[in-house]
Amino acid sequence: MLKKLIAYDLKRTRPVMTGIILFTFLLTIIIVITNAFTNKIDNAQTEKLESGLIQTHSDNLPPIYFTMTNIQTIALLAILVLATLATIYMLRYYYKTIYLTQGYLSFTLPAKTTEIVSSKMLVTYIWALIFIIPSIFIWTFGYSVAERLFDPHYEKLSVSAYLPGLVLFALDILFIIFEIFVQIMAFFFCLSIGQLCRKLKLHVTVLSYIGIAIASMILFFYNMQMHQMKRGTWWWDYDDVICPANIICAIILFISFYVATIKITNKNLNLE
Amino acid sequence: MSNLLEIQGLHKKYGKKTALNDINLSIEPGHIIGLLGPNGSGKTTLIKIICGLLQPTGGSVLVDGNPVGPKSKAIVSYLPDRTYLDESMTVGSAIDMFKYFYDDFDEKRAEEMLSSLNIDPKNKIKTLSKGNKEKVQLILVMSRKAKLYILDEPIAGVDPAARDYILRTIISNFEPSASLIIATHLISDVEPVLDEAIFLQDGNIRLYKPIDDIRVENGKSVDALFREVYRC
Amino acid sequence: MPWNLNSDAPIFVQIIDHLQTDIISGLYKPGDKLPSVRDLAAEAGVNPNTMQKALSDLEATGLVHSERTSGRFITEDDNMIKNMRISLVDVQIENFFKSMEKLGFTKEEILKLVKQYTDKKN
Repeated sequence: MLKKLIAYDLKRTRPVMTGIILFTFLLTIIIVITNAFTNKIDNAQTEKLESGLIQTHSDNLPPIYFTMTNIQTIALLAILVLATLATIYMLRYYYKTIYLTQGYLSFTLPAKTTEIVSSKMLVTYIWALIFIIPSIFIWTFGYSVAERLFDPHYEKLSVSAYLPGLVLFALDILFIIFEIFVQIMAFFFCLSIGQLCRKLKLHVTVLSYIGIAIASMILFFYNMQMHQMKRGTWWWDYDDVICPANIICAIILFISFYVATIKITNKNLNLE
Repeated sequence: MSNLLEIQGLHKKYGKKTALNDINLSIEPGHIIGLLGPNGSGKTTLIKIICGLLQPTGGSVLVDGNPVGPKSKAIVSYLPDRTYLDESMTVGSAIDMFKYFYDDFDEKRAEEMLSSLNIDPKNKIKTLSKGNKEKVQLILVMSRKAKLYILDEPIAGVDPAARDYILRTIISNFEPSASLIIATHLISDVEPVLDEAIFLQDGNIRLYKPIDDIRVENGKSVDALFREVYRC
Repeated sequence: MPWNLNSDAPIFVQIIDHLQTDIISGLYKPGDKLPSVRDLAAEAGVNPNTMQKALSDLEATGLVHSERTSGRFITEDDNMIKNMRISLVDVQIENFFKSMEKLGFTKEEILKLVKQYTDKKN
């Protein structure tokens, strides 16, 4: 029944989400193209000095250069807006189909409560992945193609030299995505706590979410700090961001929020 | 013959308030039963527990031998007293959804009932009149070949012609292997359709008897008896 | 439209009366097949179990009989129907006289009034 639930939730949210996602891909492509243009213009005016450093000249940039950068900025902002809209839409879908009158339909389906709730969580994450990962692919691919085409000093690295950087980059992205997922799961958790209080639902939900956000930020920076100090440097690096402590904490938080939400919904589902 | 619904020692407390107090109930298949009681008597609480929308604080509920869960939900068809469908859906997609999730859904029956009411499946639910919305929800629930139907206030706020239609649909869909519970406070309209009545008051079952027995013993209709029993 | 059933007497008794009236008035002819229990119940607006009980009672009186697989049929016994008609009419007349006597009329006055009424109607 879980598969059926997931298929159905995907189908219901598909119209809006595919619209948003396709629009986002379009904007990403626009950013890639405009970046190619500015890249080309930039690199037409560079020279490699004897010291090995590359110097650019930023005078006499044609007006179209600035049009391009403006378009880039607008496109980026638009993507942020779309990402926000997508998040709000999915979270509203979750809330409407579990806690409002549509919940009567959801929970009288012949399935376990755990399956019903998990299906909607999963669908939220699936759309998030579809939103984020291809966009990043388009961006990195487009960026490296532009680099290859227009950067006169571009050195093609061998695969073995290229790969570690790529892997690290992929891990960075995955970690950021996972952190986003933890925050979303925290929101689901706060919704379920809010439902426990019959009178102050909204207040409890919002306050608990803020509380968790602050606490997890403190934890995050603490772990970073600890790791950086262990490395013995005075500044932080990406290594510190994805330190083992942070990864483990994220995993534990994710699992805890999920289990708690499921337990609470099973025990205390109380629709109006 | 195992009972369709077997409730023992059911208890539901909200903090200090007791909504249901030691409910014991056995329902056999083949009956149309009225769950009657004033507001706040615990009707909706009892129904929600049977349907798995609420957890009891004590006691047990068995639907055809199954505890409340996916198996019981597959044989219980519930009509809440509010719009539970996503109103941006079309009537046709609501039918598809029921067919998709419920093995016992009879699509042909639903389509027949809709066309006899001249409701076009392509219409979005939010474009329907209030009466038609209720009828669509009723059609979806009654088109399932379930073992236990539970209708919460199916005829409240509905015009008399629609009321007749709804009651007629309930009678026409009657199966001796199933039972149907109607929770309502509009007793006089529904009384001819019932063959048994449960009186619920303050979370307790006061009475559970066949309708005609009540009429014979008390010399008055169930509606009149009810008004007497619950006179403020 | 559901049958007109009052709220005090047991429903199955009222159903029996209603069906008997239908049979006697000729709505159902001798030998006619009755609709199924469910259809009759839907037409009457009553619970099928209650309708079933009423039909079983009617069977016991012989007014209706059931063939195993084909359903229920009105009796072909014309005499039974005629006798039933007469006994029902007796009940009606007795009730009429009782109500008129309550209003203070004597039997002779009642007969005169009935004749006046029927003359006026013609």
